[in-house]
Amino acid sequence: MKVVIIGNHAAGLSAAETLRKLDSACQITVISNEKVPPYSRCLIPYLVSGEKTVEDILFKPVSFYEDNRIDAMLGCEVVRVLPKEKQVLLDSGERVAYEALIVAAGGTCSMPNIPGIEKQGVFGFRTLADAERIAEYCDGVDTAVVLGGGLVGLKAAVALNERGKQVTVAVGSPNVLSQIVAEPEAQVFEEHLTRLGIEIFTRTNPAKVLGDEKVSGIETTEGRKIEAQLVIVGKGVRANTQLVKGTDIQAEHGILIDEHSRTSVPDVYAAGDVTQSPDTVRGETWTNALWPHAIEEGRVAAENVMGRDTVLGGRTSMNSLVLGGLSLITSGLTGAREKLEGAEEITRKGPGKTDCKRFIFQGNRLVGFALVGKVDNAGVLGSLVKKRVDVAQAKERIVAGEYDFASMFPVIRDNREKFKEPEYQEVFGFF
Amino acid sequence: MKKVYFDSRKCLGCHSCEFACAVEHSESKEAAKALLEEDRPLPRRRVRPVEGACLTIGCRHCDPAPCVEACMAGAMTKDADTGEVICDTDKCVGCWMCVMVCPFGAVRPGEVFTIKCDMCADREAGPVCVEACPTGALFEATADEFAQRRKAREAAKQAELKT
Repeated sequence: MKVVIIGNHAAGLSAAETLRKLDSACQITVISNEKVPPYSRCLIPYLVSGEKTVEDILFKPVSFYEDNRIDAMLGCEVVRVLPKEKQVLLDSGERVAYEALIVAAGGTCSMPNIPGIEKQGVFGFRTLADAERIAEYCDGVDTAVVLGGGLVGLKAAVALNERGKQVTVAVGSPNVLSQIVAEPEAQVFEEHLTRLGIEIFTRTNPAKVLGDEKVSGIETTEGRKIEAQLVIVGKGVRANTQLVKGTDIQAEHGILIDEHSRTSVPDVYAAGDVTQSPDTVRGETWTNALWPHAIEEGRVAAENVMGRDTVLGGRTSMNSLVLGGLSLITSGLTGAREKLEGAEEITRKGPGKTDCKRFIFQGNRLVGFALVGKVDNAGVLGSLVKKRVDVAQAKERIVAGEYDFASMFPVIRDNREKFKEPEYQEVFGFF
Repeated sequence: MKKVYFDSRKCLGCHSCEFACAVEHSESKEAAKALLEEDRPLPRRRVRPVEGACLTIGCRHCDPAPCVEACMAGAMTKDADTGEVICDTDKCVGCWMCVMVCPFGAVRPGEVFTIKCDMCADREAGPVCVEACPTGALFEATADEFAQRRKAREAAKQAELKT
């Protein structure tokens, strides 16, 4: 069996590792446009803050490809998947044949289409190369603007702040992190970031990037000028669906996959940020570009390539974020704009100044939660969300913050059919 | 591999396992000194009441392990031989992705890095919680041994019902 994997990050490596584990003989080729050892994308902010080196953020050992007998074609760009020929076309014109293909090609930073965006000192923030260029450019820079108040933008802002830069964040939405939290949590974070010395402007969009060759600031749509010798763009990520354009592989915001990580074309699987995959809480496919989903999709794709009938587990959006020591964990439908019919939201603040919890119920189901400050036992709640458990009997306890495993045990036991994993059976066993 | 299992019928709720675990993971590993340490030692296992009985829960060393799949630092790994899920605290960055996905709440955020059961890796005699349990409610067993015990228990229950 010859398996080709496009991409060498979370999903691609997870797939490669699983394939090798299941079959010592199959031929594995990993193609990536990045010519780097297997690093963790989520840790690149630490390179900017200066807390870690490239070696520190390696996700797998440098010898990973060799150890697993993987043919790594690094620095090669796949321009098109040719499912009819069962080949992928590289930018060099070379074609690589496959029997099974796993597309884990990730995404690309969306850069706003505004004048001056090409100036020196304006960076996207997704790759190791981005982080290294920013870290280098940082020397001699005092002021920076981050465009976008999502996870990437705020991580970049904190990293620059830790490096001693004067940072301003320009957020288009009325609040930071609007994709994953609503006003109560956003407010806590805005106050926290302000205390760290980061300035935040909400409802602020860039109209143009100022400066000659090098950036000197940005001008907002309202005409406000913000000085900056460095600009980082965190305005979202676009799935790299162009690889499958014009083929029978269906894509919307991402390449559509089913619960087997299969695309619409036989022998072609997809995994990670490039996908639009089943979301059991939303009941439709969604582009949840998340590390754990990428790893799972990669593993499930590989297991199915190897003829095992494996499916993705219950899943939905989830995020864990720590900014300047303040933690946030969210799961389910928690975004500011996600309004559900008949949903009931309950917010609890305290005891600490930065502690805040919000729970979203729809009928007897918990469909989302956001925890700021104390995040213990978030996974217990998360399992209730993604398994769509009837929590009527436990609602009061949840809202009161009593959702450790023992407190939720009666609910879990009463919904045994949804908790089939052997680990739950071990607990049920002698209880 | 052996895991630590729990029999609630034998649990008195004495918290000995919890206490021993905290001490074992303290700086000094001595009860009297551990209490005075600046960073209060935290137990990797907790005892909690459930409907008049007790439940003690620690890491189940799941397979596949959600915390391993969620770890973006490559710090959380599952040992291919022992099956143990171990956090490399040198690599852990404290992002709490593991906390977000642990279905048992057995992976907790510490001051700097993740706190979880390490099967008392430093201890030759094995997990201290098992040794500290005065009633045998916590016991070490392989999956097969556990299944046998469970079967025996079911049989005993049936016999009891008949008499």
